[in-house]
Amino acid sequence: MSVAESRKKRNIESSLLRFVNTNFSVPNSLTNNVNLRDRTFDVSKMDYWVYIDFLNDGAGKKSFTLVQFTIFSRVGGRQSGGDRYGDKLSELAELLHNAMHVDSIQIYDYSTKTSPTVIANAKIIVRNSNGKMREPDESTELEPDANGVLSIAITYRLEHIGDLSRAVAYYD
Amino acid sequence: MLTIKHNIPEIKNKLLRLKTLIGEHPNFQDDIKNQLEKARKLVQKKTPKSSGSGSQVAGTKKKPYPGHLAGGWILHTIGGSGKDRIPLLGVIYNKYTTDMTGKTLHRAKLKSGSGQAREYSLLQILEYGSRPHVIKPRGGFTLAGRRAKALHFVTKEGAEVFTKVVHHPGTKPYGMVRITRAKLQFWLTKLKNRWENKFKQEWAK
Repeated sequence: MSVAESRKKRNIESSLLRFVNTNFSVPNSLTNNVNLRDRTFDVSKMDYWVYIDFLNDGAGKKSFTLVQFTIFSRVGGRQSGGDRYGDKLSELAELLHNAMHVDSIQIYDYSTKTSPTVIANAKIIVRNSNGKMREPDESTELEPDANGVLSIAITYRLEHIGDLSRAVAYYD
Repeated sequence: MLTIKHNIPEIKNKLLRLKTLIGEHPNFQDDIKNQLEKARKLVQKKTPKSSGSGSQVAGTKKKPYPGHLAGGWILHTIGGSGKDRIPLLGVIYNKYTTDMTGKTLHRAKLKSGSGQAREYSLLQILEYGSRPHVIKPRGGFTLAGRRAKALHFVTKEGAEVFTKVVHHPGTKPYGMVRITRAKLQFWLTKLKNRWENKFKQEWAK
């Protein structure tokens, strides 16, 4: 028996990326500055950018998925005249919190990559380890790198709406 | 007039049965300890480990780590008692990078280009990942007492390389601590619910 489309890793991850790209953008930068899953992408001309990494893939498998957003800012820190205390980074983190502060995220079927279709009643829930909805699991400011680039790693815990139910039949 | 009906002997009997339940083996604290040990094993399994003596065997020439970071995970428990009367505190930490309070050990701190110790270790890089960066020799001394002018390492394929610069592609975040913490939270909630049900069933008898 094949796995339901809404539970597939590809569909869950792509739907989250689609949601983030629609609802969250970092200002004053070039396009395509969010959703950099390829770390070798050239960011040399960007002031701000975001990496997205999926740490595991439990959502849709009676578990959870952790996703890490690493927000980078070339502006801010001791060397910076305009933003000595790195407030800009906190503002960007807040923009992400605002974007992720939703009841649910729609899951799409990406069987046809160019035209994904809505899967009825299939949603992703944002809920942290303490059970709080719409809140991040963890937020850690990382040490500035050798070039003074500031960064913050924000982790969200995602669950498939079907995993909230105990009904085994759901998985049939 | 006010009348209160009570059945103290029955309540006493119920409480006694609950007390016996607590004293049984494995009791609640035994279960907690088992979950903590399970979490320690999970974080150990999730910590990346190269097959040979790769970059994860870090430290200095004088004080090298005796093993891979993955082998450094320790579970330390404080308190607890056979009859669950003393609270239990469990700490899981990596003995090669931090002390029990979570403070980064000096020998585990990574150095900047100027040789200054920074407030993070290899473990944090594996946990949160790193950007692509350039690695150059720091100008330390070789075994022969000369200034190091090149980097020296052995590749996965076994080739010995001498080079002046390495363009590291960055490290993906493994998130082993966060995954383990979230799983542990999940296991403990299940355990709590199981024990609550046990008590409720006993009380209802």
